[in-house]
Amino acid sequence: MKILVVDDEFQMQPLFEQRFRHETNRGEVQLTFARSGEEALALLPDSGVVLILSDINMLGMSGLELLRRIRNIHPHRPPAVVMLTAYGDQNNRQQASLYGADDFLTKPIDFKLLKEKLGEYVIHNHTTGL
Amino acid sequence: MNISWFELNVSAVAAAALLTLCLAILGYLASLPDKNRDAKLFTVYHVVLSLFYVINFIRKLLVYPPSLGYTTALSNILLAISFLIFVWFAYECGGNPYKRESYAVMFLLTVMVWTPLFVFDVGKIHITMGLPHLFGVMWVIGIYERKARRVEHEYGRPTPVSKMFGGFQKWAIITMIGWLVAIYNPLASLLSLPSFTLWYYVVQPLQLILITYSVTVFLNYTPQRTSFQAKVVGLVLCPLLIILALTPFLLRQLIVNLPNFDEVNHQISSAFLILIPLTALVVIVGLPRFLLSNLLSPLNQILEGVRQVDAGNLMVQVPVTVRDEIGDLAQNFNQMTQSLRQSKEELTQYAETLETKVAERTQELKQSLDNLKAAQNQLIQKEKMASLGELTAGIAHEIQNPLNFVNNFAEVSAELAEELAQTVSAGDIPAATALSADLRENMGYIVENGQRASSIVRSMLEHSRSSTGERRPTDLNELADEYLRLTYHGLRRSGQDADFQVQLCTQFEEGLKPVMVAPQDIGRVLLNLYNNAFYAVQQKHRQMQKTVLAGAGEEAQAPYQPTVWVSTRQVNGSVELSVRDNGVGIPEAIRDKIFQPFFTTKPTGEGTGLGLSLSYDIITKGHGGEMVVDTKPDCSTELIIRIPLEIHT
Repeated sequence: MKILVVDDEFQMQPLFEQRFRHETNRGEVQLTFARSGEEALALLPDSGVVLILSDINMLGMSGLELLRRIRNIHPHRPPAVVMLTAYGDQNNRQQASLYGADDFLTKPIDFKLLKEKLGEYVIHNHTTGL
Repeated sequence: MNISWFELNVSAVAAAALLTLCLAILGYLASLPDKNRDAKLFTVYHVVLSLFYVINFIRKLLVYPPSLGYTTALSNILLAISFLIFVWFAYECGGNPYKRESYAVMFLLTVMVWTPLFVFDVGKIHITMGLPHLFGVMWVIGIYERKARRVEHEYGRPTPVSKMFGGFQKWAIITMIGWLVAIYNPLASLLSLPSFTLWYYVVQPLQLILITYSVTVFLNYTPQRTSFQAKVVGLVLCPLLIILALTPFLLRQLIVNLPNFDEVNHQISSAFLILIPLTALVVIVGLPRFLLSNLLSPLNQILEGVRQVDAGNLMVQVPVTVRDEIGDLAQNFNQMTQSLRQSKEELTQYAETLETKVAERTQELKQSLDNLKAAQNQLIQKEKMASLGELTAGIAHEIQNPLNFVNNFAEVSAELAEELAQTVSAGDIPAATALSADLRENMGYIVENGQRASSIVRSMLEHSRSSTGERRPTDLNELADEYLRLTYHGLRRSGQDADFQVQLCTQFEEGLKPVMVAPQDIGRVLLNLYNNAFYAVQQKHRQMQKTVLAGAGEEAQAPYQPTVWVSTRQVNGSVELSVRDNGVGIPEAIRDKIFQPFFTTKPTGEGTGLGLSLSYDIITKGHGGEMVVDTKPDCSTELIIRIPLEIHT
């Protein structure tokens, strides 16, 4: 299961690597990182990524814009797109839902919850409402 | 009843009248204080004239021939002297513009006047003695004429001095008439013409009028101050003496055919001789007394009252001593002071109420000012809070992100620590070493992010707290960057377009010198400039979207890339910071209003209209810098602040 994490905070990489170290070691999960929406869009084609975890507030292209563009190319998952944001207000949630996000999680990230939901994101092969 | 050596006759009476008048005038002239040159000469003239009239009086009394000859000679000499003074006075009064001429004329006239006296018998009256006088008087008329014209020519109009010359000229003309009359009879007998029998009716009054007139002219026009009493006395005395001098002549005509003419004539003459000095005495002594008690002293009291009123004493009351016009004046004066007192009291009262009113109004104004200040402070606080609200999203992002790391790294570290313990007990040293390295790294992340969060909280507090205005050396690049991040992350807050993204271009000059500023204040300025820039590009973005929806397809339209440029650079003695955007720009019409308080283009409730105004004050007044705007409507806006490195405020 290939996961792409998009965030402009570089410490996301060590955090995800440590949190998913067991899954990574067991070969269940493969992690890829992008520091901006543009970078994510560039490495997405033919990458086999099935889940994208993206921040919303980023310098340059925002997470929502990234979501919109991805859904332009892939109207349905895969890849599943989950928004991760520090400012989870109603407006952002609505926008994300409108653009076809699969889920909306707020920071600080609850990794336990995230891991529980991982199966959902991949198994159900249809667009879910929030 | 004639005594051997003298004889009382009417001529003597006239001479006595002349002498009395002349002495009275001389007395008054002598009593004038601070006499100038002209006044002195005039007085000397009257001294000589008085002497002449003394001799004249004696001459009229005497009948003894030898003594008659001596007195006539003395009379002639005095007449000659008085004549020369008369001419000299004509030249000298009011300044002598004809010095050389005057010396020559004086010399000539002296010769002319004295020659007949010594060529002929000085003890007799001779026609040749009168002719130089006649000539001299005519010359004097000419002198006054020339002097008057000269003065009028100089000033272009009649002046008091020219009028004085005119007055003295008339004096000279009357003198000339007198001399003509005096000379006519001897001349007539020489040329066998009919004689002028009534000549003494003319000559006596002429002399009286002459003396009075000359003194009147002199007193009217010379700078010597004269009293009202003197004028009244002169006015009464002169006609009285004229009447007294002429009456005996008239009476003589009536009694000349009486058998006892000599006796009656003598009695009449002696009666008038007593009457003249008596009348003069009564007029000179009595009249001033009457004037003093009935006119002058009440007038003086009123005058004193006027002075007191002028000095501010309105309580003054003048005693009303007489029941006439003067009394009425005093009464009216008292009424006037009373009404003045009333007016003054009213004025004082009014002034007092005015003062109270002014004090009340001042108090009210002060109250309003205090209210205004309070309102202003509230507004400023509101503006601060509003800009803080704009920051909320940015702050949430900036706090939640570090918190995310702190929480998660701490949790994962706990797991790692447990694993470390297991690997150590299993004896797997390389794995344990790797885990401990991870742990150390994680601790670093935790500390770093904790600090990041607390720094955010600190700057948020700093922003909301009242500025101390304390300046410290600040790296403007760092400050500009920090606030740019805060503002940018605050951008995507409620109600804003999610697909809207701004490109940020920063160009911070390296090695920028630290500037002495109050970081909180400058932070607020930056926040305002950034927010305005983002607002402008967002407006533009919305406009573009509308035109896209309304018009051609997306591909036809050149894509709009909202961009905000922030740059710093050092220029001479100051640091320049520029915030530029490619937003909607500022229309020409409102360009000079943007720094005004409460001016805003945002919808009601969204902007306080204080942001740029406060920023402007912070930069210009607070830091001695400048803030300028450069904008192209529908294209771009650039706000530039320049802060001097050395602040003098």
